[in-house]
This record gives sequence, C-alpha cells and structure tokens, in this order.
Amino acid sequence: MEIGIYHYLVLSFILFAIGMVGVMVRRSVILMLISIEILFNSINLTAVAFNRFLYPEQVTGQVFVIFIMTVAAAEAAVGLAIVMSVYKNFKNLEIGGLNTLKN
Amino acid sequence: MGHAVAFYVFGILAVALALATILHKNIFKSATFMAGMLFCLAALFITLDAEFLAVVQVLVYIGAITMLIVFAIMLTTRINDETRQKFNSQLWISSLATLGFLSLIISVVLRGGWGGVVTESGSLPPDMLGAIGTALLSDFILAFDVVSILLLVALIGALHIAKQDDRKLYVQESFVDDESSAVKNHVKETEEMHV
Repeated sequence: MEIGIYHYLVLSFILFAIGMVGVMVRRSVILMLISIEILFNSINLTAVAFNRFLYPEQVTGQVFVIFIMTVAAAEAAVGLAIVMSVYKNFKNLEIGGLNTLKN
Repeated sequence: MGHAVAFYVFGILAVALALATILHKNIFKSATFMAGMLFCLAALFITLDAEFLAVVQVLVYIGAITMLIVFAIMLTTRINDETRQKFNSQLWISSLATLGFLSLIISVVLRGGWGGVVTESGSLPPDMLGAIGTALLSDFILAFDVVSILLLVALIGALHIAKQDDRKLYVQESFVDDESSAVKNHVKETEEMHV
C-alpha cells in the first residue's frame, strides 16, 4: 500500500497526543520541556508532509521547519536557564512545589 | 515498497520511543529515548525527500538540544532517586482527554478533502538545497532576520538568567517555617536542659 499524506498526518497526531500527555502528567519541569520538544517535532513532521505531498515543487514547509527549529532551540536555551535558576533558588524541580507566587 | 517499510518501521519506533520518553521513571533514560525518537523523525524526513532537514534535525536537536537537556539533568536532578512521585494525580483523566482529542482530530482530518490519498505527485525542485537557500534569503528574508535577532536575544537572556550571582535566596515559605520552628524547638530544648 502506498504511503500517503494521511499516514504522516496520523503519525504526527499520535506523537502530538503523546507530547500533550507528557506535559500534563509529569511533575518534573525538565520532563515537561522534553515533552514540548516532542510537540515541536510532530508539528515539523506535519509541515514537511504537507510540503511534500501538496506542493512538492516549493520548499515553504521546509523553510517553516527551519524557523520552528530555531525557535525551539531558543526556547530550550531559555527554558533550561530558567530551570537552573529555579533549582538554585528552590532546590526543587517539581512543578507542584513551585507555587510561591500563588501563596 | 521500501518507502512503506521505512515509514512503518521508523513511525512505530518513533511512537514507542516517545511513549517511553514520557513514561519512564528515570529522567536520564527519558532524555536518551528522546534522542532516539528525534533520530526516527530524521529518518522520516528522509522518506519525505527532505534530506537537508534530516541533517539539521540530527545536528540541532540531537547534537545541541538533547545535550543541553542532559547537562541540565546532570546539574539538577538526583537521577537515582526512586522514592519521589513521578506522575501527578491527573494521569488517567488527561490520558482519556488526550485520547478523545486524538480521535476527534484524526476523524476530522481523514474526512477533509486533500484529494484522497495523495502520493508522490508533482516534481521536486531539482536543486533542493539551493531552493531552500534562495527562499530563505528572498521570500523569507524578514522572518530570517527576526529569527536571527530572536536567537541572539535568547542567548543573552539565557546567560543573564543562569549566571551566578548572590541574590537573596527565595526559599519556599513552608520550608523556612519548618526549619525555623525546628531551630526554635532545638533552642527551647537546650534552654530546658540548662534549667
């Protein structure tokens, strides 16, 4: 059976759902950042699949993926810097314990 | 045929590794599984004729972001601490909600009209890498510049946030209370002992 755009879309949605569950259920901040990387990657797969199957003569989807990767790199750098700062101040990286602003 | 085999092998592997990433109790192994999943995604990019993106995926994601995450894990987490709770209490309800979302979006997309199952149509640009470079520096020049500035700002911001300084330690209030009451109790006990 030929592999079409729907195969890639369904795969990317499954990855997106897994990333969503990861963001929602894990308590560690670093695991949440890792899950966000899974979300970014599923979106990248969607963009490349649309580019390949609907407009193969253009490269717009691939250029978008390059931008998404850049933003993901910036997000990871700032996010992990915040993680380091939080760890220095609280000695704790579990999301339920970081509620100083609420109290 | 080879295309289908590659898609199914790397797709199933990617899903399995993503599940292992979010479900494994050891956070360091989670990061390792994430690297494997990113590699499977790079292979899927190759099946989509996006070789440049596959290389960039390996370089940027596996080479840089995973390494950054591993460094953060090494510097902060006690990896072998098995006593702490790894999941919050929303595991089942969020899994169910996500399953509902997944079935909804898949049913909507499979109904949508992208002309049936589109396969291998059209012709790729003869010089893919050149086409990407031309697009980056002509049609997308503004976005390219904005993203460059964003990267620079993120670099400076990350440096500023993470740099060592002797700010006041914002320890949690409950933690402070426990400790100071413990100190008071200790002082009281020693006073009683003296008396």
